[in-house]
Amino acid sequence: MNAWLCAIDHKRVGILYMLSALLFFLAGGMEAMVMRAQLAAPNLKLIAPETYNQMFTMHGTTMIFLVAMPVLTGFGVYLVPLMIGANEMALPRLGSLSFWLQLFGGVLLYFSFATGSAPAAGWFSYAPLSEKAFSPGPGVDYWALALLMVAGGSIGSAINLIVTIATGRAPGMTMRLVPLFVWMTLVTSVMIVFALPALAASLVMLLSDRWQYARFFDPSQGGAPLLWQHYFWIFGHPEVYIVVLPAFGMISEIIPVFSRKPIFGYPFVATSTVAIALLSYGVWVHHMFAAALGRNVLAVFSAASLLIAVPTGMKIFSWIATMWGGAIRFTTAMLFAVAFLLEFTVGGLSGVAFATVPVDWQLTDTYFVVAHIHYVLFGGTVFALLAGVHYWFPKMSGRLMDEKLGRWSFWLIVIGFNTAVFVQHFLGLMGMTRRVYTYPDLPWYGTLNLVSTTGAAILVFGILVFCANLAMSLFFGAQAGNDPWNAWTLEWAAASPPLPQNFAEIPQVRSRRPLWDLKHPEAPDWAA
Amino acid sequence: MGGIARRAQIGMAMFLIAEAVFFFLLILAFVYFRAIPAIAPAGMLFTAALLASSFSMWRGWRWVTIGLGVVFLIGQAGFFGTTFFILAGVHGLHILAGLVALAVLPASALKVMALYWYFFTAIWLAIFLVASQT
Amino acid sequence: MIAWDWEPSVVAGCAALTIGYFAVARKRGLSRMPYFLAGVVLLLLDLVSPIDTLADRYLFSAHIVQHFLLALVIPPLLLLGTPAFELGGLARLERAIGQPPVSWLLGVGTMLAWHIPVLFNAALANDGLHIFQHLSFLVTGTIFWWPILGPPDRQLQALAAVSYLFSACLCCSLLGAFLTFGPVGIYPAYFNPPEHLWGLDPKSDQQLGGMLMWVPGCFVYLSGILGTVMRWYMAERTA
Repeated sequence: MNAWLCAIDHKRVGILYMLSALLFFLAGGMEAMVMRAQLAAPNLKLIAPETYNQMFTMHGTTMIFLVAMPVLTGFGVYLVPLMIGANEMALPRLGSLSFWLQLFGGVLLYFSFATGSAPAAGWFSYAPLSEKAFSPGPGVDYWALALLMVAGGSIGSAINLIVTIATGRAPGMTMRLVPLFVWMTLVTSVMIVFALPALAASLVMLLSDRWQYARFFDPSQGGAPLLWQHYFWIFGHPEVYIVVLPAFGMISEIIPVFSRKPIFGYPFVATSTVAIALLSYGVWVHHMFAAALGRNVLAVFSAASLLIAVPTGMKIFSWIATMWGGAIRFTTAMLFAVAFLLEFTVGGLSGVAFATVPVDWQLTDTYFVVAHIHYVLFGGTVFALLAGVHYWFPKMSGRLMDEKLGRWSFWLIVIGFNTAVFVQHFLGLMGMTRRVYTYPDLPWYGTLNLVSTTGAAILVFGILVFCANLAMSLFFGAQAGNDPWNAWTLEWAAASPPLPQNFAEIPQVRSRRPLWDLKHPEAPDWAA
Repeated sequence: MGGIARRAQIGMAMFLIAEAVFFFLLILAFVYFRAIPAIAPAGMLFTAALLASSFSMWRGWRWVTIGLGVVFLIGQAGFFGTTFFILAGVHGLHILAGLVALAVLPASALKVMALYWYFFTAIWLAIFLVASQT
Repeated sequence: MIAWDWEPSVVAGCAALTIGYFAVARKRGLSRMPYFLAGVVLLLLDLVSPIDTLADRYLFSAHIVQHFLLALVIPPLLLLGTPAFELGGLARLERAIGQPPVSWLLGVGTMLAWHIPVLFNAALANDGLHIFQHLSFLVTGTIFWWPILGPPDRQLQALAAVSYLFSACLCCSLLGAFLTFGPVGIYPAYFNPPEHLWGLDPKSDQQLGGMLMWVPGCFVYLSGILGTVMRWYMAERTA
């Protein structure tokens, strides 16, 4: 126990992140199920409106800050040293501190339930709703303080990853030869350094307002609510790419291996990542189209938002081109990866719809947004994570996951998720408002909501099957060996699970597929 | 992997970039509300103390730096009760953390701490310059 | 009347550039000529087409467009169109002003300086100063882009080049954002144009100008960054 509590080995810290994220994922999932139960039929009163508000606030905050970011950080912290041929992260104690900061932030947030006053102002906590006048209880204070801790942890782990990638690469592994997961993690970490401080500044200002030291956002005292929106979304938009880029990195590792072809257009995938990172700081106003900002501003940000779809689309083409003509092997990991391509594209298309101002004016704050965010965050990030878990579980535990259970969980999750969320596009187009605890008995509202709730239940079942697979495989799974997938990056050269010091000797790297070179000395990549 | 000195320097540089974004947004908010007061002549004395502490940091005189930093912090107490207190207070907290670090860290960490110290001196100068404009 | 203004000095200058180019590049290969010619044509249009009149008398935003082209679009095109050549006597000058910190300061500094109201308004009032202003954008623009698009042995390394462009983009964005959200009336010459075109009142006009500097400006720097990154990856292929 002590070994885990005091761990600074990156593999231990990585697994701590993943376990913590899993726990919070279950909590966030329960919050979602409470909401879906309440919305199963019109005019239900299973829970009070105030409770419903706490549910969607906690669900969103949990999933973004306590699940998505930590689990992606966990994978980064676990895999990056192995992939670059290093024995440890550059700043191990910082890495450990970052994890515990994040965890304590999460605990602090959930402690608010015990006070009877969990935050209820939404995961983006708009002023003046989040000000003392309208949220008198301590909920928003817990929210802000918890997120300050989480932000600190996030920045810490990002710094650790940047320094590790900058200084710890194996001999011969130039920056142009790193695995795409490493490149995406690096870009994401730089984005975190530039974006999370904006959240921290917003939170400091909000707490100052609430504790009577200032009047930044309170209009009755000369403050500007719009300032909160600007500052939050200057963080918030890069944030959504922060939670998706490492997932793109995972997909970029998995699809080539199960297509038996190197990634198509590595320079394009890598460069488009830089494009996304830079552009993401120039589109934040598209979350504020309904605020009166003036036509010129709206037009320019609309154009920029349409533009940012291009580099992402480039990646989708790259992944498809990688599969094209390859010898595809549909392991559970690959199933989730291919499903990711479809689901994320759907999410991307609904996102592009929002870039057009008139469309946004009709659909903002409806269930169309809810559908969009869940397609990109669940269909995107979570599906990629599920692929990643199935892919790297053998490396982390030494055992294979069960393929049969894997397929069951895959189909249950795909069917459940799409049933739950796809209909929400229609509900949004029909005008159903988000963040309201119930709805009137309008045509189709009841039916589609019931369909959505049913889908959510199926999804929960699928997740449980997945968790069962995890648990069973951990104890009873078949031995995996070092390299069960016949893959090409350095982590597969280490033992499964890796020895404490990772590598007995650090290999010389000469191409992007060092393991391929080792296994195929007659036709190495660098001789091509 | 490079030596700890190089790793610490890169890490500190990244941390300071994050802090730069943080303070830029805070200062911008204060400028937007024109809430930065003109800093009294006494304020210039304490600013001079901070500048002097950066000089002593450059020369490697750890305890002189700490002493001058404490003088600066005492001067900050004058802002208590104003809106500007938030900005001065957040900056002051960082100076305080820096003083603690300077007191307890080994001499090998001084080079990296110097970066931190120069940065927060510069931030104070930025606040000071903006104050003199409004 | 908004018409074409075939200023003789401008026409002569563009002709001289073109002739000079053919004279020098003829020996070194004309494969890059399209870029250079595009730059010259754009330069000509920028200074003689109605945009010039709009910029001088009607719309602040039009003036922004004109300067934008002078500093951020035409110099890169001219540099892209220049084949590699021996610096010879220019080497000392190049070492002095082609160094990244100097070239950055010249490029960004010129951009920021000319927006100081006193200077901006003076250039509108005085023809000679106005010509100097335009020339300065063109010249310092070319100097700015030299470490990015100049001869390969004088180019910055990838990470340095990205930082160089990113920091310039930040400055441009800050200025653009200030003009978009900031106080109206710092450039009084545009308060009473002969006609309010396209329904643009002075406030919207300044806002538009600021946005054009900000977002398309960023786009230019972004393209530079992405081009640098792609070039870096492609170089690894041949290495």
